[in-house]
Order: sequence, then structure tokens, then C-alpha cells
Amino acid sequence: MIPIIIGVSFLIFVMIDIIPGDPGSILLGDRGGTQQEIDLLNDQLGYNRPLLVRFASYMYDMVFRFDLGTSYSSNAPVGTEIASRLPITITLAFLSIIFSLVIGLPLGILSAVKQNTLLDRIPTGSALVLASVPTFVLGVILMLIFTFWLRLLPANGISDWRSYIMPMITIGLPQAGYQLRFCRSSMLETLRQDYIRTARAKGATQNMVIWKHALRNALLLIITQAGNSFALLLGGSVATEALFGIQGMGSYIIAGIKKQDLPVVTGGVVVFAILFALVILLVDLSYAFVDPRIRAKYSGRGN
Amino acid sequence: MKEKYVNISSLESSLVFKKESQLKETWRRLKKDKLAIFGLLSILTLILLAIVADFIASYDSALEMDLSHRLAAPSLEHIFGCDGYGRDLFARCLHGARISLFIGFFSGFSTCIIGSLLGAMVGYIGGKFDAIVMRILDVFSSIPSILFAMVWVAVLGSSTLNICFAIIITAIPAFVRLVRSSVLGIVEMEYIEACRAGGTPMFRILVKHVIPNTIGTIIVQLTADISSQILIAATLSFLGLGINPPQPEWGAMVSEGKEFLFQAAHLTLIPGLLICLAAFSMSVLGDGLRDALDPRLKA
Repeated sequence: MIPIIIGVSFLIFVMIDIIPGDPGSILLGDRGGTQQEIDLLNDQLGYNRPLLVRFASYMYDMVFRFDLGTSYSSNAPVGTEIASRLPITITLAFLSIIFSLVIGLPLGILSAVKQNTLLDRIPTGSALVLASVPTFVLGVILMLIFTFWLRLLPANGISDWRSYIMPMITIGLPQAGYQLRFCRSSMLETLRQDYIRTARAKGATQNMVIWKHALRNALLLIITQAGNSFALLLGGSVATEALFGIQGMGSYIIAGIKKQDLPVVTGGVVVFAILFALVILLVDLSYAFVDPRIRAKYSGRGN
Repeated sequence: MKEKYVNISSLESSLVFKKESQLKETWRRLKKDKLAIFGLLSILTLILLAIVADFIASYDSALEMDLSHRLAAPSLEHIFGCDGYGRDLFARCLHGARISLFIGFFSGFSTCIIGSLLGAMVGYIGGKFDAIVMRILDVFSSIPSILFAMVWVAVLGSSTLNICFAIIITAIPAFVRLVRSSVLGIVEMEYIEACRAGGTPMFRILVKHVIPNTIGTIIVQLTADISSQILIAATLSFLGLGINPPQPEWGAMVSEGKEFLFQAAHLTLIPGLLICLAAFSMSVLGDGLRDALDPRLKA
């Protein structure tokens, strides 16, 4: 995980460095600074040091001082700005994951158990269609329904809990579609196994087979999928934040790109990547809770 | 030596013959899949419309502003209505199709070519080369793709080709990983060893023997990629990072139309639905091809 974070930070750092223009001229150029002032500022910012040295000092500041540099446009520390925006994005991501699991898993199990009936075709078909709807189009359709026709929900910014509903559905619904399709295929896969036939032969009821045997074994695959789709979810949150005018990480990075605010872009993407790496780590840890085989393997060695 | 070469080439021609029959077999199975045929027909229609766009409505008519028709509802004269500057939405959708589909297909095929070659090479060479390339790709793929593409557009500046480049480089890791894993079994086969012993250069082995044996996987991934790349391109231009404004592109049109969402919803919905249609067509075509190429996988 740590090499990945260093790798990502370095990659982003190098990419941003390719952008023509030094911080001095971006900061002072428009305000009519002289070349001398620009050079002086570059010197103060440490821009004239070699790339690797700058990267090392960036990483040092980030890890030991929680310092991600200063925004060119607002002059505020990037770390502080991110700290105020990150909770919104994380709340939204968390709500969307819950929403997608609540919708996707039961429907996925249902469509696997009732394979090739209407109860299978309708959810699977909707999931297929949803996978081709970009988040912003889905968001626009929801806005039309809930804000314009029903006049129930606000369409802009975050004011109270109701503001979270539409963004949550916008990000969560396509995700629920993936969850559903994946849950269905893992359940079908598990239901075909020999031990399921054994359980049935020994007289286990349909409910027992589904809940105690099939689902528990399919859960491992489902958790992996949920963790991996987190990247997709963060991606979806970028467009959703822009659409609903939410002041989260996504809109922060977009604004940074448009204003050529390089510390903002670097800091934002690095924080996103760390978040993603953490989620993958959590997924790995959660295997132990779900799968007694893995738990036994590690506790056995510990004793 | 000469004789040996003849033998190998006759072997190749017999392979080509087998490939053709497999093609026919696949097509026979695909024809039965109504959803896949719908996808194929609708994507072909969209491509055809994009190609003949100039004959239906000139590019100028997609840019021409007529403020007297501002936000006009669909009518006989303007079948999709007019946008906030009074530009004909139908002409804009038509010319937008050119850019949206071009980005989707161009970056899809480029990802496919680079990804298959690199994936096959990594699987074929193995060892340290494999380990290093895969670690680098791990780093690339741990940044959410839309974010990574956004940063590339920021680095390169916004133009149609730069968006393609950003999308290609974002999509390559997954493609390489897929091809590598399906190639690993093939490179161990005896006929590959025979080629190597006969002195066939690596590139030729990869293109003639390794990649054709995994072509099914590659085609399915290609169609899925085109579908998702149409969505990513649309998202980028929706965010204002892709296309430069007067140029029509579906994602950018949704973003322009959004301002008038509650006055003239068709400005947002029509280009939005076109994006969905294009992505949906490619994705059902991909699913159909997957089942047709390997009926055992069908759930």
C-alpha cells in the first residue's frame, strides 16, 4: 500500500511538472510582476531545486507536517481546504455504498434464486441499462423529477439532510446495478457447487441453503467487488459534485485544474489515491471477518 | 531451411481457414441474440449518421446562432428544437456524434492495439520485465480513471486528440492485465516453443500466434471499453475539460443545456439519451459477442 501511495504521488507530481509554466509566473504573471520578482518567488518556493528533491520535500511535508502546500488562487493551505471538503465527499461515498448495497444485494440474490423468471429479467435488464447511463445524465433526470415536477428536493449545494438524497441516488444507483449483476453471478456460481447439492440432499430447506450456505460463500466475492468499485464511485462523485454544486473533493480538483492551481490538483489527487488504497486495505481486512478459513489460518499461527 | 519456412506458412494458412469458420459460427450464434443485434444496428446507424452528417446538415448550421429561435421547442423546422443561443439542436447532435463516437472508437481501438501488444509481450517475456511493468501499471490503476483522465487533460490542454490520449492511457492497465492473464497459458504451448526454435522473431510470434489465440477475449474487452470510453469522454466534456465551447459534443451539450433544465428540458435530455444509446449499444453488443464467442460462459 505504501509503495503504491508513493508511486501515485510521484506520478502525479511528475505529470503536473510537465505543465508549462512555473509557479512564479502563474502567481505573478497576470499581476504584472517583473521577471526579477518571478525568479525571486520561484526561489522562495523552492521551485529551482531538482524534481526529485522537490518531491522528497513534498512527501516529507505531507507525512510529518500534514502540509500539502499552499493554494495559488486562495492562498490558503491545501491541507486545510481538503480537510473541510473531505467529510462531504466521504459522507456521500458512504451513503452511496450503503444505498447501492441495500438495493443491489437483495435484488441480486432474488434474481439468482428466481433465474430466468420475470423477477430475474426486470432487475437484470434495468441494471444493464443503468450501466450505460453517465452519472450526470442520471442526476439531470432526477433533478427534473424531484426538483421540477415533484418539488421535493433542493437541486443545489448541501443545506440539510435532504440535499444528500439526490446525489446519493445519482452515485449509488448505477453502483447498485453493478452490485446486482455481480451478486447474481456469484450466487449462481455458488449454487452450482457440490456442497450445495449435498446440503439439499441432506434435507436443508431452500431458505437454509440460500442464507447459510450460498450467500456466505458468495459474500467474499461480493465484498471484493464492492471495494474495487469504490474507484468508480469516487469517479462518479466528481461529476455528481459538479452537477449538484457540492463543495467536495471532486469540485475542488476540477476548480484547481481550471485555475491551473497546481498544489490543489496534486494534493487532491494524492488524497483521493490514499483514500482508495485505504479502502482496498479495509476490504482485505474484512475477509477475515467474513471467511472463517482465513481467520483460522492467521490465529492458528499466532498461538 | 527454405522447406521449413514453407511448412510454417502452410500451417498459418490452415489457421486462417479455421479462423474464418469460427467467424461464421460466431455470427450464426450472435444473430440469435436480439439485444446484441439491436446494439449492432443502432451503433451502425449512429456511425452512418455521423459519417453523412455534412449532407444532412452543414457544420455551419450547428454553429449558427439565431436568437429569435432561442430555446425553441421541437418543431418541423427544428426537429430537436433550438438551444440557448438559438442553434439547431439536431445539427449539433449530428455533428456532436462525430466527435463523441470518434473519441470512443479511436481510443477504444488504440487501447486495444497497445494493450494487446504490451499484454502479450509482458506475458511472453515474463520475469523481471513482467514484474516491473505490472508494478508500474498498478500505480496507474490506483487512481480513479476519470480523475486520472482529468489530470492528463490538465497537463496536455483540451483538444479532441488530447482527450483520446488521456482516455487511452487510463484504460491501458486493465487491458494489459486481461491480455496478460489470458496469454500466460498460451506462451507455454509447444507450438510457441517450435516457433521460437525455428527462429521466428518475437514480434511475429506475438502477432501471428499468441494474440490470435486470445482474440475472443480481446474483442469482448474492446467493445466494453468503447462503451465506457464514450461515457468517460462525455463526462470530461460535461465537466468542461474536454471540448472547446462552440464545438458540439454530447457531454458538453448536456452541460450547456443544464442551465435551461427547467425551461427546456429537451436540450439536456436529447444529447444525454444519445450518450446512453451509444454506450448501451456497444455494451449489449459486447455481451452478445462474449456469449457467441464462448457459449460455455453463458450464465
